[in-house]
Amino acid sequence: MKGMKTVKRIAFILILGLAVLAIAGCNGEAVDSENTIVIGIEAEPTSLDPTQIVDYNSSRAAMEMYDSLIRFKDGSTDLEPGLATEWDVSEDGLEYTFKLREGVKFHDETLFDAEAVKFNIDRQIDPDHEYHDTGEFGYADTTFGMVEEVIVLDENTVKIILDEPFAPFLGNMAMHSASMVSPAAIKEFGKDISQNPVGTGPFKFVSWDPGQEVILEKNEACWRGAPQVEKLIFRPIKENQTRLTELEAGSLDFIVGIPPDDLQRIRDTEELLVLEQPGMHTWYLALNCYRPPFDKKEVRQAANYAINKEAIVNDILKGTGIRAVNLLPPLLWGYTDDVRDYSYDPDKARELLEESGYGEAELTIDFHVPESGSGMQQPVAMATAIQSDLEAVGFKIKIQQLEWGTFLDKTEDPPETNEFIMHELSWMGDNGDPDNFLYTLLCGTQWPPKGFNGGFYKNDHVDSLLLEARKITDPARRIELYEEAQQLIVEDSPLIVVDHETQIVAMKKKIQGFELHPTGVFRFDKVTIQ
Amino acid sequence: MPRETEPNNPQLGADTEDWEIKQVDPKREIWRRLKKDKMAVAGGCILIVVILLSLLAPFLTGHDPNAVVTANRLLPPGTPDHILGTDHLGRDILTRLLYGGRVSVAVGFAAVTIAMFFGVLIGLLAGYYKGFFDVLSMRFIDILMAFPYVLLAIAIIAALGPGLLNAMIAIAIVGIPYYARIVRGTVLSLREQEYIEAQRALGSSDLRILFKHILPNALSPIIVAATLDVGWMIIAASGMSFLGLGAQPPMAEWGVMLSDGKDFLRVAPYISLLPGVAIFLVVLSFNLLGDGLRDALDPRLKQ
Repeated sequence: MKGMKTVKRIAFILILGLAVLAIAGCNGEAVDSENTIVIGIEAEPTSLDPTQIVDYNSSRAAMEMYDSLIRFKDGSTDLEPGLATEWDVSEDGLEYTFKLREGVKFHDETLFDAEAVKFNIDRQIDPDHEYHDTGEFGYADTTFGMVEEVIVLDENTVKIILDEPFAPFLGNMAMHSASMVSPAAIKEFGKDISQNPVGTGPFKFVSWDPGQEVILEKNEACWRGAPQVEKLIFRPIKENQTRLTELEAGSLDFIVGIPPDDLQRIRDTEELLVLEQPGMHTWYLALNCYRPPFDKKEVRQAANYAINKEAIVNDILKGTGIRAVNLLPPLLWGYTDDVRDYSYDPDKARELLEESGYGEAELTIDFHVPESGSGMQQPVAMATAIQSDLEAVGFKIKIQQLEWGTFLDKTEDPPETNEFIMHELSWMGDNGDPDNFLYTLLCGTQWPPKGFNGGFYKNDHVDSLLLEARKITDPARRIELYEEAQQLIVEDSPLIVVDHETQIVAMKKKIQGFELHPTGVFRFDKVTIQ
Repeated sequence: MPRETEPNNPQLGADTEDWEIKQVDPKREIWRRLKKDKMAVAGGCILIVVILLSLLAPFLTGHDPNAVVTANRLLPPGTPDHILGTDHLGRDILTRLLYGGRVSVAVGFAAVTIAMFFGVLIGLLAGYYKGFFDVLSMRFIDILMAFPYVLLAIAIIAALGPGLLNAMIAIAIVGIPYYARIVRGTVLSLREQEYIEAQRALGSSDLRILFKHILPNALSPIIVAATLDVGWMIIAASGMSFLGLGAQPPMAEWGVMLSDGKDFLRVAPYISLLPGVAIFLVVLSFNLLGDGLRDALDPRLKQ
């Protein structure tokens, strides 16, 4: 009798277990429809309104829905017509006239025209614009800061007047912040436009369940032709290891941020494909030149010599990046490696520190580090290695970890109240122009809160070179100016550049025809599924 | 849950002579009972070993816990010179475990001491004086308890800034209600006892009654609670460090080590596993010891 009871009980438990498994199983495969790609990204998008986007997790999810007047070609930062079919630049480089593509409709069926272009640019840069308060436009100054006026010539022609010549302007017109959002939708949704995106792109918005997923579906009426893929689902998954496991388990089709130590195993996996390509990325330490001890050039150089960048790239990053010698990534025009060489040399670092005359009190520094963040690779491990190297030559470094959002906010504090003496950050090029790195991150006019020069570097000679280079259009002359600027900058060492990350994504082999783009934004419009 | 402590109470069993002989030294009696509890003894032994090991860490290993040698990273356990292997920055895991033990155990004890001090003080005063102070402090304690404790600790750290010291303060504050509740309950019943009334009649000051007569009699539940709590505090402190709010890299701390290893679970699971086992062992030992102590201090509870 007793035996029977036990058997029954075990059977009951087994059945219960099976039921639980079955339910769990159903859950995992709920979205596995034929023509869908599920993409694992690193964090929750902050906004799906392209004019408000400042990070990759947002732009990767959002940019499938939008077009700009000019597009970067597939696989390069060369330009091709987008919503504008042709354009014309005046002799003095101040007037840009765009002829717009006719008959293009936004996803809400309203017509794209010259008024829409004017609306989108004015909304970002004109504080008196009726819809200026519908967002915070982090890129407005970088993209359109030089725009004086946007004039509608006729329904399909628009003229943009600049207040001074600006060489990379056409490139800016292809940046994510220059995307065209439906004015009707902005009027309807106001501030909520970032959760209700409406563009002209190959995919249109279906839903956004915060913390869970963003769902897009194909836009049959897209002027570029309807995409093959029916549906894109973007899932934010913070932990690299979790994201990878989900790809291997099959609940994701495509991921970014593969841990370097797992990469070889994924490369060897039969049903997975790994794409690797150099990107326009630089990982750097920003040194606060406004305050001791980094107000002295010797100390900045000492720190640069003290850090074994080679070891970080080879051992910690396992070669998923290339060692950087300069802020500009090598694949960008204007790059030069003819600059001061800061190869690992702790003895030289000690000498320079001694020269600087700073003692232990000044050399005790807080090092601010984000726990994670787009483009930050392995922020804590890299910071710990750097800390150890710096302590070996006489610095005293205390690491302070901050959450990514808080961290970014603090980098934007003005010099007087900015508490960061040393912090790590990365930058990814937006428009394929050296100006987007050198001017944006190092020009003396770009100190926070206005710009992104978080180390408060200012060198009048460098400033004059960078300001001149953005005004002239002769490429050869611009290269000369940028090369000279790079030499001066590296000599001053306001930033310690560590590496340029290789763009790496892994996907199931069923996804075909995907190509990485140097700007790091994804393009699924030509992808097919086998 | 009002409790009386038996061993200190001379009235019980006063009429049998045998009993009176055993009553001579209550501490010995507790020790005798504790010794009989095998689990508690095991817990105690593990703790003594852990504490000794971490105190002697510099003599037991030749490595610096924070020395980064990237060329030696991810060596598996069993490698000569790195018995438990190395982590993702080439640091010796055994060394980090030993040094981490110092931090974790010290933080556990310190946090309990802080929480106990304030909790006991509030509980004593609230239970003894009742009235307005009681209502005020107990409502405050209720408010503290109404928050999910991890959330509250995170909020406190957010205000103070991340760091091991601040994490310790945060979890100590979160721990205060536990002691205040226990002590207040005990004091509420003790203050009505005849011997306290006798003291009052003799004209003893409140201070003398509170600390000379009530506190010693309320001590055993406090000791039990504190022993069990050390384990909880160690987990909480490691949890805060795991979240990046407590100990900051490169400090060797078990929570930090656990978090360091989470990106390498596939290639080097031991980086996370070893500190996890260490936390588990120490917390389990504190719990076993605490349970044993409770039974030893108050044998009636066991039935």
